[in-house]
Amino acid sequence: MTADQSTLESVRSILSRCLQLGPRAAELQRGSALLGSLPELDSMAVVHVLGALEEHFGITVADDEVSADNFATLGTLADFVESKLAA
Amino acid sequence: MTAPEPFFLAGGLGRLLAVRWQARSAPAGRALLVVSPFAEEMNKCRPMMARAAADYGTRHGLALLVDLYGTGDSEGDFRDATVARWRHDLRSATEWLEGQGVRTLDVLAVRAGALLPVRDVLGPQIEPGRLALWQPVVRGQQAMTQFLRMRLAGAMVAGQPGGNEDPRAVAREQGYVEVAGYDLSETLVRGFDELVLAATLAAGWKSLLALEVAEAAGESTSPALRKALEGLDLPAGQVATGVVAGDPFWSTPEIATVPELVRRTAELFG
Repeated sequence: MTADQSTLESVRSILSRCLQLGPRAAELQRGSALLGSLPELDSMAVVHVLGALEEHFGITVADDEVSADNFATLGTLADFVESKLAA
Repeated sequence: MTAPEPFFLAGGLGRLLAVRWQARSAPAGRALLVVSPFAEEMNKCRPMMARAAADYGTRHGLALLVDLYGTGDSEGDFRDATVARWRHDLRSATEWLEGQGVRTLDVLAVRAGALLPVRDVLGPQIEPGRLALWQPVVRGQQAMTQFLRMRLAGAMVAGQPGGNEDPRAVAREQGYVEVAGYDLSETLVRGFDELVLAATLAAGWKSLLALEVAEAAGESTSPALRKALEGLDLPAGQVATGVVAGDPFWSTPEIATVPELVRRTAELFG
C-alpha cells in the first residue's frame, strides 16, 4: 500500500520534530533513506517516533512491526502507517 | 533568580539527591515539589524543570526537586527501584518541606512523574495547593510498553536479530529486564503497568493545569488526556488544559526548551 501525500507529510513532520531535523526535513523525499542514514535515528529516537506516530494516527504498533524494513525510507515508514490506518 | 542548591535528603533506603531553590527572604509557607519522569526522559527534562523551579523559588520562596531512589544522583540501584519506594521518597520529600514550615504544597509533575501519587503522601500538616502537569503520561502501561520497546529498537538499529522476546516475560523469568542500560525489576514493571493518571489525580487540589506541547499552539488537547481529566472529582472551573507550541523536549536528541511552558505554569501558581 502506497501512502498518500498527506500521510507522507505528517510522517515527515513527526520525524522532523522528534529528531530535530530543522531545514534537513524539507529534503526528505519518499525514497530518502532513514535507518543508517540519519545519525539522530538511534534506538531511543525510534521509540519516540513510533510513540508519536501511535499518538498522532491513533494506531498501535506491534512488537514484530518494529523492523528495519519499515524504517528503511520515508516512503516505507509512511506506507507502514497507511497500512495500519487501513487495517 | 534563586540559585540551585544541591543537598542530600534522607530517604527510606538511602540518601536522595535533592536540589532546592530557596529565596532566603521569603517565608516558606508554600513550596513547589517537582516530580520528574525517570530514565532518559529525566535527563532531557532537567533543564526545563530547573527553569520552572528557579522561577517558583524566586516568586514564592521555595522549590524542591528530588532524584528518586536509584535515579539521577541518588543512592540505590535503578534495579531495586519500585513504585512503592518512589512513593516513600516522595513522602520523605514532603516531610522535609513540612520541616521547613511549608503548609501548602504546589506540585509540578512531568511526563511519567504525573503517575506518582503525591497527593496520597501528604501529611496532615500540608494541604495540596495547585497542580501543574507537563505532557502527562496517561497510562503507565502504555509508557512502559514504549520504554520496553527500546530493546527491540536497539537490536533493529544495530542491525542485529533478536531482542524480540516479550520483555515482560523476560522480567518475570529473571526478575528484571535490561533496557537501554537500565535494569528494570519485575516489581517496577508491574507497578508501573498499574498506574493510571485518572486514579493518581486524587481530589483535593485547589486547581489543576495540564499542559501539552505540540507543533502549533492552536492544536487541541489530546483525546487521551481529555478523557483522563473528565472523570476527575474536581469542579469544572478548577481544571484547565493548554497546548503550547514547541519541541518534545522530553525526548529530543538535543536538549530543547519551551519557555512558554514555564510562563504558563508560573501563571497557575500566581
